[in-house]
Amino acid sequence: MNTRLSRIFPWLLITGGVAIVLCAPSLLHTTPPPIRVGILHAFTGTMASSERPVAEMTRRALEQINTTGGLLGRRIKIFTADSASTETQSARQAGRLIRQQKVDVIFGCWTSACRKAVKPVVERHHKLLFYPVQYEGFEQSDAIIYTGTTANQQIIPALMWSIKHLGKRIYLVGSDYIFPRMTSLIIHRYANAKGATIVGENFVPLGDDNFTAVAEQIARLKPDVILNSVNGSDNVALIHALRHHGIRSKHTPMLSFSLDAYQLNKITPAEIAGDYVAWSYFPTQNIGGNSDFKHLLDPKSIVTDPMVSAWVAVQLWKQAVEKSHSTNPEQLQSILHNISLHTPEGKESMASDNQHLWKHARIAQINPAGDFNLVWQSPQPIAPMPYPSLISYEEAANMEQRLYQQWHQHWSASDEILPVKPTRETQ
Amino acid sequence: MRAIRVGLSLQMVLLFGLLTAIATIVLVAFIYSEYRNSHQQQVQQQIEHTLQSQVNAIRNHIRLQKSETIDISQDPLVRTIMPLLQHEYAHHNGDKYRELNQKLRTGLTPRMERNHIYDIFLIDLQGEIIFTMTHEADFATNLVTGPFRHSALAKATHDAMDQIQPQISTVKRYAPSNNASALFIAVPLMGINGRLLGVVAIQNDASHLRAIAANYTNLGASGETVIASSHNNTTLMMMPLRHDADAAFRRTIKTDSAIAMPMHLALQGKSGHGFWNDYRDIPVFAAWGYVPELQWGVVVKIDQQEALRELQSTRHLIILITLGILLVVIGLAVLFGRFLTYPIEQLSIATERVTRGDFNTKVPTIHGALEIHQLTDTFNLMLTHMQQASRSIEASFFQIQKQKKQLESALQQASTAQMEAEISRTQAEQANNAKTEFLSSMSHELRTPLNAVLGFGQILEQSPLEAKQEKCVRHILDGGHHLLNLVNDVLDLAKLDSGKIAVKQESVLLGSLCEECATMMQPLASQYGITLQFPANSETLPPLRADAFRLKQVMLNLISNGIKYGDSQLTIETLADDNMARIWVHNDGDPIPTAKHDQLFQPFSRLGREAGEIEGSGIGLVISKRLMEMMGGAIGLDADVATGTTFWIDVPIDRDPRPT
Repeated sequence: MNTRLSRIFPWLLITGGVAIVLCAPSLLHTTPPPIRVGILHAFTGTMASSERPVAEMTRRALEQINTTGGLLGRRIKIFTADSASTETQSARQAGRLIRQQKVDVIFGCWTSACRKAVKPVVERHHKLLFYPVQYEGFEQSDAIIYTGTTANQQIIPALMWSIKHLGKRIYLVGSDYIFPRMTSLIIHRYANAKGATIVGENFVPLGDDNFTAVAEQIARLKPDVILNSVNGSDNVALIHALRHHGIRSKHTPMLSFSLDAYQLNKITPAEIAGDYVAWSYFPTQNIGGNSDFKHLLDPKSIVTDPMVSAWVAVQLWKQAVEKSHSTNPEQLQSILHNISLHTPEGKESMASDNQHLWKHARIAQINPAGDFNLVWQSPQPIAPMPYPSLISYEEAANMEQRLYQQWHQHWSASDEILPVKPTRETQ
Repeated sequence: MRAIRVGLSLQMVLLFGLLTAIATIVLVAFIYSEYRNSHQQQVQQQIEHTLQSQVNAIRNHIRLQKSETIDISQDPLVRTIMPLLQHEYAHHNGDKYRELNQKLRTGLTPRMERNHIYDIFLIDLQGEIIFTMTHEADFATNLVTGPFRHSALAKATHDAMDQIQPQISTVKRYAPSNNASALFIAVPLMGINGRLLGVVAIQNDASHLRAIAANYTNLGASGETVIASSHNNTTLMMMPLRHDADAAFRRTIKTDSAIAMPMHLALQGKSGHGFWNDYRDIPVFAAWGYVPELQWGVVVKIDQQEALRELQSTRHLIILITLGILLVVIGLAVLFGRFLTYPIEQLSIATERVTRGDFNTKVPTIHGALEIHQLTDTFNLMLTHMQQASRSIEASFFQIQKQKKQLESALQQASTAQMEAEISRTQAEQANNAKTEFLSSMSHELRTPLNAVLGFGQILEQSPLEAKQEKCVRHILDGGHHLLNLVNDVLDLAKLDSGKIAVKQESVLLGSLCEECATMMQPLASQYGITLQFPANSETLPPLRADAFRLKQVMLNLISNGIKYGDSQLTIETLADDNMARIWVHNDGDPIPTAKHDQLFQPFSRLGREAGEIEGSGIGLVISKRLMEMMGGAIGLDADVATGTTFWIDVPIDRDPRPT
């Protein structure tokens, strides 16, 4: 027994030594804490049906990072909060995510109202908000990364194309909240520069589905084109009213800025065929990087522009974190400007002087099958200019303030009635 | 299978060497990989950082140029003079035009100098260049219809008026400026009424961009910034290269080629970093990014060879240190092994010597481990003891040797004596045999004349004799009988000595034996006045196994002796157990002293009664003893009998009596 022990003792010693030496490196490493990330979208209320797919896209993109080994060797822990489609709740939930869940970054918001409510919260706490939806511009915050288009990447190119191809007599119709109002300001200014005229203009409160007056006015004025910034399901009522008054796409085409695929499903293709939509992404296009994110979704699900922008937001954040080896918002901000991506929308680079992306402008015509036919796209991505050069900063700020006061410290004329109308969707 | 025996030193070397080698190699490999990773990360970060600063420098330059151009387009001087200039230009009003031109020139010159602007253009809605600062060949040409309608300026101008948004052209060679590379920034010029008047454009000679690209700070001897753009499915270099000064607008890379992958990725709009082969197909550390303003791919890279040079020298150093450590450890292991094994070797040598018989060996005391020290001491102590033991053993050995010799001589003497004794014995035996022969033949020869004496004696006795004669005959007969008995006894003894008597094994009934004895002895008893008393139980005793004739002879001998030496009575008693029957013959004569019991069974011994009146040859008991022994029985006398003499015989019981 003794001799056997003494015979194996050296080998025990060697094995033990080797084991200790081999284990030492792993003992030096400790499991790092997860990266805490917030998703803030409406899961209840009027925006839920539009925002849910965006939130889902964001979640899947983040989870994909976890399945491929995490970020900086850390896992991503996702905290989801419901903005309940109201400004107040958006701000409160953003604060809760930051203070209680200790998130470094929030992916979220759809409406400009939500964004404007969350903006002071993230600014105060020096956190980041990745905002994935096209908007009116006239905003610049270090705390917000805008992955959707701003006015000069959607409204202005679409207007220029429309003047060139559809005519110079323009009728403007929109919902009565901040995005259509500011869009109107831009269209007025740029149409004028081109020598086009706005023959008529009408803002209908969100949720007021009576477009009879609008339709009658259009029928009377006979514009070359209708530029539509009506939001959500109100579009359905608008189109019904137009067709009811004999206004057909063939003679008076409409170019919509906020008509997404989920609303299109509620209209028969025959009613809308021939009209135009301006987005940066259309599901029919097949640009590099498409497959990267499409496999995250069910094959049958509709992919909208904000969903793609939400996916881009996650990729952008991921690259910034990898490059700066940090999740610190301040370090991310400086590095973000050096990131460019190849996305389903094309080449997307962060601007050097603001926190928007270079994006393509695209216009598609709705075909009788209800699908999109791409009719125009900018040859190169367009540099984001949240403040279009024809409108001064002061002018825009004054107008925003005036509207805010007029709407009783809200960013929408009908904010109070939003929650009680479940089909209502704003932008 | 025979185990391989390895020396302790070698074991030490192997064990420590292996342990240290594994530990050191693992540790060094770990440290080196950590170091390499951190070094690569450092290189990577440096490259990445350089790329960022290069891209930022380019983008900032463009941004400044763009905002400067926008600033010019919003300059009240430009906005007021533009319509007037347009009017004078259209009407070929030279003097008025020159006046306005001069005014504008004076106003714009400081901007030119301040911002590296090569030229400033004013272009009207028809694409006519109505104003330039440098007055090159492009002045007064039409950008829609004129010779420079395919220039970068023409495209930027067109897009700016089309989109009413600032436009930045790509960098190209520009014919009017002697084919120098140029980029243009065109900004819509808005009139007071908000209508589009035309375009303000600036020309940048890319000299500042070239300077940025040629900045090799932090890029060592091989690093550089590569700038390229996509042109008709090929990648065209935009700037001179460190390794190819004429690369700008000349050198191309095929888009589908495997080399210069970072540039391909950059031109796809991606940013990143990694290890790739560059346009020269040389492995590099690269970081790449995209400049959307100019549609440029920017790659900052450094040759891996250079970047890893430090790493390689470190690796060599680490390998040297590792080898050094290994050598030192192996050396120490050898020393330690020697330190441990030297005393053991000494012990081994000493043991070997001891094995050869050299007990005078001493193991030198060595300054080794305590245990070794103790072992050495104990060994030496053992040696001392062994020396002493050896000496005493030697002394004893000599003595034993001496004694052995003595013994040997004694033994030889003894053996001689034994031989002599043997001879004497043989002689004695021969003599004894002669004696016996003599006795038996003598007895036989004696009996013949004796029979004649006795026969005639008896005849005489029958004849009528006078009293005196009758008395003489009686004496003759008595002496003859006595002599005959004596001769018979001697004859028997002689037969016994020469082994000529054989005893039979037959079943003998004690009852009938006693009866015969009583009948035969009654006359003698009556003669001596002795009462014979035979046992009453003799009929009940089991049959004995003996020679009936010889047993009777023994009995008669004992009874006749008892009668002869008895006083008044002779008693015979018997008792038997399973194996033996004992027969006592007791008389009330003078007891035989115990001291003389041993002589009783010696031939011719009559215990001092030789001279007595009672006749006897003195050999009856000897014959009886011999006979009893031959029959498996025994004879003896009881020693402790107070009055009289008690002889007894033991006779075996016949266990298997054959039916008769």
